[in-house]
Amino acid sequence: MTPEFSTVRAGDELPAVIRPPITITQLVMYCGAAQVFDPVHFSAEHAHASDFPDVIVNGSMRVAFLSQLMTDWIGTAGHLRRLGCRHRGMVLLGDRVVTRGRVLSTRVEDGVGLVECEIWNETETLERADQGTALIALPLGET
Amino acid sequence: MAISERNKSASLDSPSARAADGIEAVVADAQDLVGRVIVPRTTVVVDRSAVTALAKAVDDRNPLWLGGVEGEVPRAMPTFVYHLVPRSFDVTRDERPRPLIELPLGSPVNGGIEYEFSRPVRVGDELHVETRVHSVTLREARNGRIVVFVAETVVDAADGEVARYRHTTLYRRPKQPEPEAVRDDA
Repeated sequence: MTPEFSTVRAGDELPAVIRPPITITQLVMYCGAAQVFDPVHFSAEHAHASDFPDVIVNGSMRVAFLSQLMTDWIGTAGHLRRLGCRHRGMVLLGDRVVTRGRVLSTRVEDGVGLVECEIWNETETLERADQGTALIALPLGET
Repeated sequence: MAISERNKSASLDSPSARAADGIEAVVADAQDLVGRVIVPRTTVVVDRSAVTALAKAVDDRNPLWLGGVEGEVPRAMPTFVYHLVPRSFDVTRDERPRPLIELPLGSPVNGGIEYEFSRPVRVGDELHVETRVHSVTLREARNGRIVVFVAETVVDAADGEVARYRHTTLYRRPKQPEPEAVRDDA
C-alpha cells in the first residue's frame, strides 16, 4: 500500500528488507536471468583465481536489492524516479544482506510529493556495503 | 594493445598510449572516446518470462512484476533496464567476459550506478537502448590514483525517454614489481 505523502517525515525509517544468506542457487538464477556469465559469480575456483576471497555477488543484484526496498515501500501508486549507489565493499556467497533506508527530506513539486531517501545494503561485516540515495514521487491525495 | 573495446569503430590504440605507461596518458587517450557509442542502438521487446525470471532471482515477489495486480499489465522491476544491453559471451570457455572498455590498467571494478526513471517499463514495451562513453577522469583515492570511467545508457520508446543510467567502472594501475637492488660491485 502506497504511503500517504502527508504522513512521511524526514528521519522516518523505511521497512527493512531482510534476506537469508545468499546461495549459489540464487546467484546462478540471477546470472541466467540477467545474462551475465562471469564465473566469479558462481565458481569459487574462478573467484580465487581473480583474487577474490570467495564467490562474489553481482553488483547489479545489490542495486536491485536497493530498488526492492523502495518499490516494496511505495506500492502501486508511487514512482521511483531516481536511484543511485556506490559499491563500498565486496558482498560474498553466504552473506546475509539487509537493505535499509531513511527519509532525508520531503517537498512538493508540480503537484507531486517528492521524498528523498538514503539507502544502503549492510552485511555482517560491512555496515555499508552499498550506499546511495533514491527519489520517489507519491500522489498528494485528497486535500 | 593499449585500449580496446567491443565496438571496433571506437577502438583506441594510439601511439601515445602505447609509448607511455603513465596513467595520465591512458586517461588522455581514453578521453577521446567521450561521446562515442560503445553499444549500438538495439531494440528489445520486454518479455514477460524475462521480467519474472529476474524478479524471482532477486527474490522480489512484488505482484507488479509477477502479474498479480488485476487490471495492470505486468511491469518490470526498475533495474530491469540494466539488462537490456546485449552482452556477448562464449559458452565454450569458462572465462570472465571482457568489459565494454579495456584500459591498459588493472582489472576493472564496478564502482556504482545512477538511474533516472521517467516511467515504469511494462511487459510488451518496445524499447531502444544505446550506450555511450560519458566521461573518463583521473581521481585521487586513498590507495592511489584511479581512472573513473562512466558509460551512459539511454532507454527510450515511441513515447519518449523511459530511463537512463550512468554506470561507473574504476581502473587502477596494477602494482609494479619492486626494482631489483643494484649491487655496488656489479
